[in-house]
Amino acid sequence: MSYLDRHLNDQELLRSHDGEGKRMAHLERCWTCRARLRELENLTREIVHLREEHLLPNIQVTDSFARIRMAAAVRPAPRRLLSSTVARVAAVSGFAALLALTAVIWPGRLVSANDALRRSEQAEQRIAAGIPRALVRQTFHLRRVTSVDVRETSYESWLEWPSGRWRTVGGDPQLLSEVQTVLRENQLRPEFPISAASFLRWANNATTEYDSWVVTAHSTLRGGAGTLVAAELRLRPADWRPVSQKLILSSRTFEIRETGLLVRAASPPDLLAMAPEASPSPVVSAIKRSLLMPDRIETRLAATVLAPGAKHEVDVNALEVEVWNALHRAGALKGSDLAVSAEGGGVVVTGTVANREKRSHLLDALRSLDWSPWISVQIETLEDVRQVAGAASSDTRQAIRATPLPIEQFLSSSPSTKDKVSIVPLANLVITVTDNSAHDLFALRRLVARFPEQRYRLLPPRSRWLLDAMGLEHIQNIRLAIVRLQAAQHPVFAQLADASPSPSASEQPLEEFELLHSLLHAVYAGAADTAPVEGVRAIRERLQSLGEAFADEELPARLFTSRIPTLRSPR
Amino acid sequence: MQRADSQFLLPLLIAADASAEASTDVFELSYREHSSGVFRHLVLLGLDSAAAEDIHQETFLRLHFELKKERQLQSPRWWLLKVTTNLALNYLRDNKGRKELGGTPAQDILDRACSRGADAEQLVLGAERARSLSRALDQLSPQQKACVHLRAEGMRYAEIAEALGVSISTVEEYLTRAIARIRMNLK
Repeated sequence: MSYLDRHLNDQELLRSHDGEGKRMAHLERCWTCRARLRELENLTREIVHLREEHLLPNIQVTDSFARIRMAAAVRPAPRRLLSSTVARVAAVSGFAALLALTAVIWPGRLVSANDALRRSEQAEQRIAAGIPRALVRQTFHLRRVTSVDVRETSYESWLEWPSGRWRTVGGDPQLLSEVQTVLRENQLRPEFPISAASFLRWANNATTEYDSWVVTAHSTLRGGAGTLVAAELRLRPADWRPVSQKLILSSRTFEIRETGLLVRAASPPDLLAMAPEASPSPVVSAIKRSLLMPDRIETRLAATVLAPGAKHEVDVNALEVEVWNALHRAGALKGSDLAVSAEGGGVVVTGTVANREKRSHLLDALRSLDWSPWISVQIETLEDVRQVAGAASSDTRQAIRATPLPIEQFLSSSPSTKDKVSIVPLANLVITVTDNSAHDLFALRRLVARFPEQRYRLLPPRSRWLLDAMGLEHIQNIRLAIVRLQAAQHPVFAQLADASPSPSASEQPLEEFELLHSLLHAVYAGAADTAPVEGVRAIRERLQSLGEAFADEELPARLFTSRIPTLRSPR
Repeated sequence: MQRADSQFLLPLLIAADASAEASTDVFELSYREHSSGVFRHLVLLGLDSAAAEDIHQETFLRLHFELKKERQLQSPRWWLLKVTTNLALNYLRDNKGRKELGGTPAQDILDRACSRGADAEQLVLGAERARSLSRALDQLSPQQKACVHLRAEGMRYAEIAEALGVSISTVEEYLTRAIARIRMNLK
């Protein structure tokens, strides 16, 4: 069989489509392969269309150019090794010499303790180099050894450079307080429990030694129980950065080890609300206890207060948008009474969710944000509420009314009904669809009310983009609901004698949709005084005008920048 | 409130030397021209925005040093895509199994697809098709996804092969399998 007689395989077809290699002569004569090629073309066109037409909006990487320039100035340029023959020969000889030297002298001894500490200090300063306002999160493991016991804890330390605002999160408070007192008493910095700069200063009154990446200092001063007798700083061979420290006192030893480091630009969201923690009031504590929350991440920021006169509203706003988005992505905003507000320099999430699984899911979503320590969560579950209420409520279910729905009477009396409409499934479907879309409507309104135009314009681009994306998703859901409602009620509309008027787009789509929601409930959930014919007619007209309104391309764009005038506060 | 010593905390700033000025101009031009494209490419490869930002920065840092060596880059765009793709693939390999948070690119694309209006049926059909296609693209392996997106960027097989450090026939294989997998997922 010649290559002209057999069909092309997928790889050959793709190669031909991509213009790689010669055009296959077989394609000229084979309808089947040409059809497959066209199908392939359609698929690649769709992929390109999806990428090109619906590409993500440009997300500006915050200050990235300036940051890259700064980083480039700080980071040493990579060197291309062994690029010439001479260099290769020199490298081989050098390597041999180094081997010989290594055998005699251990490299760790090549520098003095002071040199090692200076190098380490420089490495420490480079952590946030090039970032004008950096936020540094370090995680530490702390261990206290006494003659009686060993106690350990882990905690986070958040520090803003260069302002120096600082706070810790988590850990054993007593142990932390103890080690911080020791650090302060010895002129070391609690915000940098492992620091070459602090160590260097303290070691002025000590004899120091350096061996194999460990600097040891023995104090020459005599002091009380809180005075350091000796200290050890362990450096990382790769970059000389200090990674652990041992503080030796007469009665106990503290070992602090860095377990994680994250450096981020503090904008956006900018979180300068790093005021010292005050003790929560007894009332607040009581309320929190009553919420029965095992995951008390709200305690992280519950008492944070924005320093008076600080002007960082925009940045806290950005954080609020991140929180809204996290809740939105977790599916928590529809049909719930969760509220997000910017308070005391942080963001507070309050409300009630159905159960503990849901709450745990939400807490995970919020924890995933880099800025979770600035988020206070006070979410209770229905189970908690019932417990607090003492389970006093009896069965609240009401008897289901058995009287026929007005719409049922209308359909049964209609002379033109050939195929009787099954009203119960239809009513169930209509009510379910309209209720679901009402959740979208309320969530949308809540967002729009929370971010009026003036506030929206102050937000950084990423926050505006997130808000737009959330708004679009709600609008899309409402659009789909309108289509479903139209399709589902088609048999009912067919019973109306008059023709439907030509629709005009509603000027007040969100308010109109709410009215439609009420109408659908009245007609399909059986309000006694509903006139079914007028109700069905009104539903048909509103669906048509809303279909036009929600298809308007300008609607999403007008959501936040030019608010729809009839918007009311969310329920 | 704890106040830290500003001398201690101030970032170390070293001014770039004057000889680098010429390369800096080219660098700035390249940055302005390709920055958002590189970022989009990263997001389309399936990276979350934080990782995309990091790799975006690393890529341009490398470009900076490459230009500093006075090397003539025939096509900065091609070079950037090559480096970006490799860094992204390394990241995805190292973070295999890590839970992605937030909206996926597919969802974002879909949001926009659905905002375009047109009539309702078209909207529903278009949105459904876009959703399926996005999902199908998401299900490709990182290498397959990289091949598809680099091809869609206009790169030839040989260029993709060089970028990924594989042979041309491997690229063909990746693409063929990717197309077959997308087709299967769309059915």
